[in-house]
Amino acid sequence: MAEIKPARRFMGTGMMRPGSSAWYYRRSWLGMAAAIVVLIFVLGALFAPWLTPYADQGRGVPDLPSRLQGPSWSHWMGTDDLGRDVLARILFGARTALLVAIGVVTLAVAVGVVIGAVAGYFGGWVDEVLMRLTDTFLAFPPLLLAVIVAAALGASLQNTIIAIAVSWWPWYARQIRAQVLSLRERPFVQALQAIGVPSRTILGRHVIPNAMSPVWVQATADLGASVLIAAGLSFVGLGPRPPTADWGVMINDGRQLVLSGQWWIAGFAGAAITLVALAFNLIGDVVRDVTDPKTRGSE
Amino acid sequence: MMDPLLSLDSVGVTFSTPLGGVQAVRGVTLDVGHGEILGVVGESGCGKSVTFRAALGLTPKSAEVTGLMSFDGAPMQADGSLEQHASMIYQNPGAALNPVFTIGQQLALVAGTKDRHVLGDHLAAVGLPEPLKALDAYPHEFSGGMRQRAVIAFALAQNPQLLIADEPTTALDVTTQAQVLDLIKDVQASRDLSVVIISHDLGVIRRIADRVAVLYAGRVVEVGETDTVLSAPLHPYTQALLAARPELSDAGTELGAIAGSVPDGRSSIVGCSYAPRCQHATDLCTAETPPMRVAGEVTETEAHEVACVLVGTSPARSVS
Amino acid sequence: MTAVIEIEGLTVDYRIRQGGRKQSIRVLDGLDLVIEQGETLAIVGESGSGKSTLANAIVGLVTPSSGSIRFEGAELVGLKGKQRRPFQRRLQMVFQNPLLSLSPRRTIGFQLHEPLRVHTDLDDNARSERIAQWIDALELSEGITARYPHELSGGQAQRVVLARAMLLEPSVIVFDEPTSALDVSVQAGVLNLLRSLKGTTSLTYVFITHDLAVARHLADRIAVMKSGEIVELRSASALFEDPQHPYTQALLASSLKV
Repeated sequence: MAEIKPARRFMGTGMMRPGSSAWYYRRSWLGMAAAIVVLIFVLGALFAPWLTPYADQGRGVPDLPSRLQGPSWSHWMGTDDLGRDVLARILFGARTALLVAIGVVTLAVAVGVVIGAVAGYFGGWVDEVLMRLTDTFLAFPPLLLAVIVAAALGASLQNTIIAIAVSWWPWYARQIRAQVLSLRERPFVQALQAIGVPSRTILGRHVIPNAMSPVWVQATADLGASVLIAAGLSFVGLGPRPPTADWGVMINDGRQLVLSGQWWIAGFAGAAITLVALAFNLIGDVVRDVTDPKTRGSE
Repeated sequence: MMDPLLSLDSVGVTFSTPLGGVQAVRGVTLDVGHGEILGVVGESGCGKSVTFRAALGLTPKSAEVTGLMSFDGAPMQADGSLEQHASMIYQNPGAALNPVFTIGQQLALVAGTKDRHVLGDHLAAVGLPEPLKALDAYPHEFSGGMRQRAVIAFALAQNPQLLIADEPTTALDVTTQAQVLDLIKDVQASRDLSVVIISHDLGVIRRIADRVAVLYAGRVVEVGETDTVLSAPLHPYTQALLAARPELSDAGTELGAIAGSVPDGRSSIVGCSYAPRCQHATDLCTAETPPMRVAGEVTETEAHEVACVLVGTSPARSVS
Repeated sequence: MTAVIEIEGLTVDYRIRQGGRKQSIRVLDGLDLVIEQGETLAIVGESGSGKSTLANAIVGLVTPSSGSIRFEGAELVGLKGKQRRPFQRRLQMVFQNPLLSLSPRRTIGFQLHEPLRVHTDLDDNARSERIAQWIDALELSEGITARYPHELSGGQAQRVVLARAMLLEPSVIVFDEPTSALDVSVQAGVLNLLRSLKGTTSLTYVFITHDLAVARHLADRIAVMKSGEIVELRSASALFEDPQHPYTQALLASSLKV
């Protein structure tokens, strides 16, 4: 039988496919540069023990005789006040930072999406109750809420993640709820309802996947923001406890030393935080532009 | 045509997309005469809307427009210079009206006056009841048909010589459709306008168009007087279009569906663009683009032209 | 002839907010209708006539304020989600715009398996077999299961949506403007297909349309709706030859003939 040909046919598959989001992303040099920076940090975090001869020091073992040496050939970034190689601390600190970032965003998205999607899809009193709950959390300034929760739970890596996620999930909930509200009226959802597909399946397999676009955009940028906030929390002592390597702690430790000329501890830690946060933000920007159909040109 | 109002000669429009060029219009040659209603019919993707948007300069800057266009004898570029002389109305009147302003406020912008009597006259001319009250109404208070009338009033307020109506009735109910079409016809007669009515619906064309041009894949395949073309179509595509309409077939019989689909404009076409779907296609059809040739008798003002190599120029020979 | 759907006194109200106050609009008012097994019934009307609401009410997308809808003898009004499911299998709906009726991010294959997963106990192989049969019957290519909705043409999408409905072997299919979104030439193919699929089976078609020509072409009986009521219900040929109600006459008079 004569086959009716599809109106469009893309060449190539996956990321190489012209017109796909990934393809657009690759055309932005800023986006690619940012992605490379993030990649470097990720690789550094993953392979930290093998990238430095001072792995033990990275984990926290002190070497007091070598304390407070400036950058040199044996210690590229110098040593800190306990004699530990700063580069090693930075690498291990990257593990902490990225762990927190991914943990926070994953938790916040998971909680927020479920609450927002259920509220948006079912409406009625379910929506009312969930939204009032969301509003309650939104009433607090996020940083303050994170500090309060972290202080209440005690300083540790897990608690940092929980604290920040707790202050962030409402945004995702709101975001998803708005998307779901509009998707709920679409013909394909009505068709699924008419077929008799159970609500939870419609929500989980059809509605939420279509609603996630703005969430991914927000999440990539939030990775950067969580690095910043985590650094802020650990700066005031509410983050992971020593000897875990942490950039925020390093800034705190190195704060006074800057005044006496030993800039490299706080300096490199600060630079690391800045670079990572900036890179994630840039990636978020490019992802947003790329997924916006209007900026893609006519299809 | 002698002394046409709008003349399009081999007009082509190519859109540039990140995936390459898309040729929406491949060479349209058409004339719109003074005081006539020209119907332009074709299915989605044939380029009928794009052609006239290009004439009005409404295509995106990245689109490439080729060919020659002239208005009232003077050549023009596709840069919007036609704006003062032509108005366009669209399929969805609701989208053309700003929901935050009253009809009167919007009409005042277009008509260049705030005089309520003048504005009221414009609305009365399109048959809106209680025109002075209508000036203070918001678009959402109107029904679809009334909104379309209002939009026509806006178009006429600019005193155009040419009115282009792009699927003006597609979004309307059946009974309203007829009324709006009759309105367009009245307006044309009373102001001696030229009208181009673009539609995919042959019924619309039959009702008000004097002549009709059939477009396929960005080219004109047949043009002539409406009665002639619709009752004795010569181009296989026109014939297929008519055969596919349920009305004309007896209830319960097979309708003439056309296998295949419209070319998508990404690749250039050698030969007749309809050949892949045409039952009568021969090698000659794919060799080169068939030119428009006159078929049948040539009257003083109108000629029936067809772009098909299988149609002869003498009245006797036509594709069965 | 047995009745497959019996509607009695169906009343549907919509609540809308207009100017800050909540208002109620009566869209269907005490509607009665009996649909016979095996027939093709066209419901014709203009916008605002309530025809889409009627279709939605039959399929359960809209809850009536009062009245009864009996399907194969069982009362549908008042049933909640799970209770309705057994009936939903046999009462399917095809929506107006086929491309929009498909879930954008799922493959066609997934969307064809889904109804079978919900309503039957067939295993994966059995499902794939049945899907393959219907893909063939609807003149689609096998590879279509791997594609996404946006890759399909309007005509292909319409066939996929039809397949999705037919897979469940329903006894009634309700079509909401099945051809409005399609070009004339594609429409013709779909109408032919609808007719051949129904063939001489006991499948019942109910289709909503504003296009009288399409109604005449396919339907055994035609119901004309205006303002929430059925004003005329007759066999297709009788309606066209001798319309009784003034509204029907007006509709026929203003329909654009070629």
